[in-house]
Amino acid sequence: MFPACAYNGNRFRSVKRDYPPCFTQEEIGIDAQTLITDVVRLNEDGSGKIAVTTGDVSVPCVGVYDSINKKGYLVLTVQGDKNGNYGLGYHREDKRCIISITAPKMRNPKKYRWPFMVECNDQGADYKKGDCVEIPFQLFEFDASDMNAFYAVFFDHRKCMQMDCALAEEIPFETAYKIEEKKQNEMKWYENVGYYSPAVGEGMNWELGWIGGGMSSAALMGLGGELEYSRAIKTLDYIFNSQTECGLFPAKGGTNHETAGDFYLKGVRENWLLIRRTADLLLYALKHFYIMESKQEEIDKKYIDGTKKLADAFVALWEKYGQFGQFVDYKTGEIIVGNSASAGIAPAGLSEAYRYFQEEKYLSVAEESAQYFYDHFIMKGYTTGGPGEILQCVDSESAFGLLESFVTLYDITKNSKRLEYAKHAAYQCSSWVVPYNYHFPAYSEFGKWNVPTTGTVFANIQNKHSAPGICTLSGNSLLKLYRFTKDSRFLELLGDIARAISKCMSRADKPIYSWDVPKDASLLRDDTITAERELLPFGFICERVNMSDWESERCIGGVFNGSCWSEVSLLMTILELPSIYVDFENKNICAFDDISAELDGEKIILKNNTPYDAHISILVENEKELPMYYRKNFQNYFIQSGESLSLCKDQLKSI
Amino acid sequence: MINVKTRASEVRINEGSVQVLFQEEVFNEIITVEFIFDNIPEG
Repeated sequence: MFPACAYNGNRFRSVKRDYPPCFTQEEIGIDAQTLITDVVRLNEDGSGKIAVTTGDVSVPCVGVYDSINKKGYLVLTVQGDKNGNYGLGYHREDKRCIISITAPKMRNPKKYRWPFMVECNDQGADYKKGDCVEIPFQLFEFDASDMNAFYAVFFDHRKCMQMDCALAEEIPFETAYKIEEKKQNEMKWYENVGYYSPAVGEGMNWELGWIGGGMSSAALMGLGGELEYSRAIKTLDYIFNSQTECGLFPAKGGTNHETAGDFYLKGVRENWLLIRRTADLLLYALKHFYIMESKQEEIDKKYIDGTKKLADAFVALWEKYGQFGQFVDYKTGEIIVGNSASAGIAPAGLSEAYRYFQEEKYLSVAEESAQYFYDHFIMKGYTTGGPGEILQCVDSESAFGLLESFVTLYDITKNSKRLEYAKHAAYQCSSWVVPYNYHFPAYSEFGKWNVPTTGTVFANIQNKHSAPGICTLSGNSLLKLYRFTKDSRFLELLGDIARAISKCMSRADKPIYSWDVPKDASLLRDDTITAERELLPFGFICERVNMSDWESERCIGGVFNGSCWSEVSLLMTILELPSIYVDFENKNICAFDDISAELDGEKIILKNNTPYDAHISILVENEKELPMYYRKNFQNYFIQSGESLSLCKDQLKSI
Repeated sequence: MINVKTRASEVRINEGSVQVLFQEEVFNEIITVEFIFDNIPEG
């Protein structure tokens, strides 16, 4: 396992295909074998070699799990030295497994240059007489009864190299929200069709779920004023007006009122829908409902009936196929491509549907499908199907979706098995999260601004960038998991993820410019073409946190001029996480906002080190159950820029 | 087992790091630290 880069050595069936890859007629099917693109991998029989750089992985680490002898091995190191990134490698020689660290990186004969493996010409370094090189490492050999035990040890040690992981306090939630709200209203609201789009620009700019369609509206509904509320309602109108007979929805739409699927195979299969889109919607529709209830607003029967019809569509899929698949026909409800954890978040949606509609069948299918996902994916150490343009490459989005599902199921059923599953999913999720601050080249945009990478989340093994936030969730399942387990590592992980996002936002005091690479230049294979750098409009958060040279050396630490789903992750973070969470009983405090927080016995000491005055929120633990939407449990305070605030336990009402 | 491949004249394997000392100039050098685990069945 190379965290965020190779799982099970990426020993899957693979095809070389231009971006965005689509399945062929021969490759589709309900029980299709896992199919990945031309990424770094071993051969399917385990032979061959993996050689990457520390920029290709979330954690500079290589792990091996021996399922026969029940042993695990982990080797961790640091990013590199003055000669650049280290290399990381793995190969077998008979019964020997060899993990290697090279200084500097050495991937020859091949490296990954999106979207293919290409020839590589990495060079060694020159050393003078008297030069001394020290390569730090940590080696762990341990008993591990199964894959989850292996990941548990990884989770324990992912920060063991003690690299810098500080996240500066730059901008409070409140200020970040104001910038983002303005941008969403000015650039992502489309009056003629009536939706908050996940993308900027006329044309086919609507995508349901996944990158934010029907998700940003929940956050804006909860955090905004009357304008945002009314626009969120119109967005729900748009969504439910497009529901098909079988209860599903078109994947895409546009400002000319057109709708479309994810892909099509001409004459063979039309109307492709990445099923995770509607799994997202099931959960997010209910989030909208609870926000509306908290505002004592009436919920249109059309939304309630449509959500129930969607939940029924998932039940129908399960009853017919015993899985939800990856791509389905949104008009017929038939699975086109199966064998995936694409709908990993569906059990969460179905569990919440059970809570809302009080129909046992939803909980029953949630339980059965969660068990399916656990047995077929989590137990194997990888999950697939979250994104729609990577075939079935391993990805983080489905892993975080499953975490949401197991946590929600435990919340509702209190079945301890589900809590164990949730912990196992969280351990795997942590393999996608960067635990240290990568040293970007000084010439790069992120090098110039010293943008921290701690808490950023790699997307998948094909699109080899880390990203601000989870696609597309606040990650509050980790807060719930802390509440259920009292394991503070889950809080720490969530704190890192939450505080990383706004650091990548272009804003007046941190104007971020795009790289000088023209759009799709990476696909042109010509690194000499340049383009004018562009200022990202304020509020834009590009999904790229490029530690790898997968798009060329010039793209390391750079971004394109794009307004991406990370903005929705930020909005959901601000909606669902308090600025500060404090658990006096267990002596834990965690800042999710850019506010310094310390626990001093029965007192908390907060400091606003940002240049902005801030209204902040505090959630105080009291062991009571939290509803799905719990902002009313937040307590609000104000801290001026540069000022401190001390609050005693007695002053703070509990939840 | 840890094995270090290098053209440097001196190698020290410590707990938590490998040190490589160059007593003369070396060009285009790749230092490779190998962690070798025996008797791992395929699978």
